[in-house]
Amino acid sequence: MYGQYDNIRMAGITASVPKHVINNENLIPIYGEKVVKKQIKATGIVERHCAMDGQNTLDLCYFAANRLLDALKWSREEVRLVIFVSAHPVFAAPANAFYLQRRLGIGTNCIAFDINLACSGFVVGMETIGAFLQSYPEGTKALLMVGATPNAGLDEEDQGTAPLFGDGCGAAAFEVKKGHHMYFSQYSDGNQMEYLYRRPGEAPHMNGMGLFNFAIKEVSDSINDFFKHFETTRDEVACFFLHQAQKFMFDKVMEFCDLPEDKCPITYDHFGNTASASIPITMSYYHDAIDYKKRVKIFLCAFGGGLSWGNVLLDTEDILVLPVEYTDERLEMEECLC
Amino acid sequence: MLERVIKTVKSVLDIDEEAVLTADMGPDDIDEWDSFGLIALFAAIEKEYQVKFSYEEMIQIGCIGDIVTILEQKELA
Repeated sequence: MYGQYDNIRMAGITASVPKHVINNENLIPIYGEKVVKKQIKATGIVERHCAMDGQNTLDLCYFAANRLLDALKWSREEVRLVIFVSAHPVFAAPANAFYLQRRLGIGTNCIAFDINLACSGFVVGMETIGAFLQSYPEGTKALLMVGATPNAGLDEEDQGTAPLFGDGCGAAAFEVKKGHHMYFSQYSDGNQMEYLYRRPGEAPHMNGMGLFNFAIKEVSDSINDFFKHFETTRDEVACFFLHQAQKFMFDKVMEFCDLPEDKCPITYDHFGNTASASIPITMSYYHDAIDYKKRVKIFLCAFGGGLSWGNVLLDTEDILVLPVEYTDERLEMEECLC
Repeated sequence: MLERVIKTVKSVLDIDEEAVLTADMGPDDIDEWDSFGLIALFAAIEKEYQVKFSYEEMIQIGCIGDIVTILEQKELA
């Protein structure tokens, strides 16, 4: 499914991750040296940032968004749309976006809701904002917050998932602005949801090879189809931000899609798979990789549980990209919500 | 070719050199051949034999013999 929006721009983006780092070699006493070294070699994931002492997805989203809104000098009253995308919410109801609206001091003249998605969440969240803002006037502002803190719920004994996932969140700001373009393709396949699913309170169930085959076939095909459909060449793109699942999958997607390695930054080695936050973390980590003040094209590709996968090509120009913030801070939950 | 591939499989999956592996053996027979092991194996074989596996080739691989067949086809190509 293809979409195009001609009047929306990304104004800023950043990410917040926990300070605490777990090196995957710390898992040697549990799995043994041979297994851990094989996993590190296969996935490229050396270490991951993990939330401690109850720090959760909303804490990290808040810190990222608060810093971004301050840096953009946006009035909190101006934000008309607040979307939180995560498979690791804190509240079952109401939507977690309300809590973020409340803590960020965003006015009541807005719409707030959640989207339940994992790794594809950033791209789906972007398209939701793009579609939603079509009927709003120039300058209307929206805030997208994404991320996950899966480590608290992982089973350390599960060799298939525990070494892969890192905690982290991202925040991105968008506004209606004529002459700025975003092009999307999106896909969903519930027939393969058993490849990655989780019930409340349980560790995730994952079929590693199923996901691997999905990524290198469906995701690669979708990228190749995207460039054909929108009649765009790889040379026109300044940087490709791909979901940071793991090394071999990443390398194969690059190979099958003819993406130049020097334009595909990686962060899976230091952050692991951070689900919907992986693109904001990578953009923030490489905040000086390209000159975001200039108008160039960047390509984003996200994929994961659902199964769900999507791509977006967008113009830059005065995007404020703040470096990753490392924090162990937590928001004190107000007594009335405890 | 088979002997060389078996040597690579043992090295990548960290299997005892004395262990007996045959062409028909795959993940059901070799404990170390899990999803991480297979990915490590793909990467090591691509590097050692200077080849690139296509998607169709990767999903064909169910045992050591399949790796040998694909490498032989690539050698002939």
